[in-house]
Amino acid sequence: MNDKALPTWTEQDRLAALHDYRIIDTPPEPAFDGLVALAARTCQTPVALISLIDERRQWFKAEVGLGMRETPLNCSICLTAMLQPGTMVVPDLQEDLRFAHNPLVSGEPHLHFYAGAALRTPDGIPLGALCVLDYAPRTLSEDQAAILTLLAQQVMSQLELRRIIAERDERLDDSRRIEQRQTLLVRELHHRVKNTLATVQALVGATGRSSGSFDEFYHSFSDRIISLARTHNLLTDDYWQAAPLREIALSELKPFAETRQPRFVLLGPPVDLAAELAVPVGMALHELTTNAVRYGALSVPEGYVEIRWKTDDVNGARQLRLEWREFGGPQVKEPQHRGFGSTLLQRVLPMQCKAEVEVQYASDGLRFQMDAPLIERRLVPAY
Amino acid sequence: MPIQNTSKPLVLILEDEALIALNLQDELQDAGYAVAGPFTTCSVALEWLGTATPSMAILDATLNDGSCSNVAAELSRREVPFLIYSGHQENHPLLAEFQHVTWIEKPAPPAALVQACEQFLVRCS
Repeated sequence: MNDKALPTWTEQDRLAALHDYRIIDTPPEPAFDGLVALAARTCQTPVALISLIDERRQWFKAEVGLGMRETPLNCSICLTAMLQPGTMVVPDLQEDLRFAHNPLVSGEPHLHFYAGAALRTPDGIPLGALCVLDYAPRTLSEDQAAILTLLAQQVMSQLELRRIIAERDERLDDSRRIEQRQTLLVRELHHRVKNTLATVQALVGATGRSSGSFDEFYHSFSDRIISLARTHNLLTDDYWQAAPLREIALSELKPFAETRQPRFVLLGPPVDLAAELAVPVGMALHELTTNAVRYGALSVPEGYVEIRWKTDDVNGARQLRLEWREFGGPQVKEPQHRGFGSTLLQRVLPMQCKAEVEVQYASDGLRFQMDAPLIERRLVPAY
Repeated sequence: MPIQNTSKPLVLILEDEALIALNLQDELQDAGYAVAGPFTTCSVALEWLGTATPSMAILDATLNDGSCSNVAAELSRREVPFLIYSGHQENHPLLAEFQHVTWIEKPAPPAALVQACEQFLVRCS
């Protein structure tokens, strides 16, 4: 059919270009209806169409005189016309071997005359044609053919305009969505900051209640704030969603990381803790470390700490087991005074993390164990 | 839950930040109140409300299982005074739902919360 130079586009490109206009199957629009009416009037034909060639059919954005919205591709004359360089005029379809067997030519409504101007994108990809048809053989005057070509260009201008408006609307929607997300994030940030301040305030109260002197209060309190800040740093790396357990433990035990003799062992698979779990677990590890430095295995050069963790599937939910065991420290005695550390381990962890906690003051070293469900939900998607 | 001393006014605490909740509990107990909870979810609080009625309540606006409005509605129905202690600003949708609700934005000095509870007592007596 197209025995000219091979086109520079593929059928896939062509369909992509067509679908870019988002025109197929849209309701009639006066701008396009007006253009086909003008074409029919100028060419003095009973039928005029804006035909767009889709994958398996030709679909009419506007039509007069035919009374159809689409036809199968074997009924399409525009499929041929759109591949011609200029306006294709066929004075009698029944005399033309290419179209004589077209169902609309050989059968009802027995079309005889066709003239069509291709609809091409600015890149030259054909989408269909603006055409006029008649039930008797005839031809077009030079003026009529020229106007048909100009009207086809007008159809393309309308299509372009429509696309630009649609793209602008999409961008507006996008920026509205971004704005909404921003508002949400600001509100969430406000909430989190206020909650963090309330947590710090609670820490002041709890530390105050368990400190003997201002000096003790000051040091314990600022150490706790620093520990909290370290966990927040790890969380910030992931949009404030999750932090690796290993990193949380490492950040607490950092001062002991570069000693000649290893002072701690971390044994466990990679596990990310959601913020709701990371913060209390970080605080718990801080209290355990502080306690070990003061009274336990890290108070003497030969002592060390073993931290083990694993995850298990319990009834389809992931469960974390975290163990802390001290070795080689001074003999352990059950404390007489329950400080903030034990409040945190025995009251905060069960409440905040739904954890089952066990603290054993074994004489050869403190043992702590917690079992808690892992929280999998994220509020903000990962990168 | 700890058994409550009935001679003391009973404050229900609904708060999912354990440290905040426990500190609030300590402050209230120091001030002569008994505490129901602290509860960390609305469903546990509602379950407890199925068995008892507190003198008053302190509620966080948003818990892990959603807005506290169910609990607030139940308390309103029983004419139990309550206040919202929340990190949200005072333009939260809950406010539209519950008029005349006392809204204290986090963080607030413990004394402010204790004082609010005292006002509830005065209003009740």
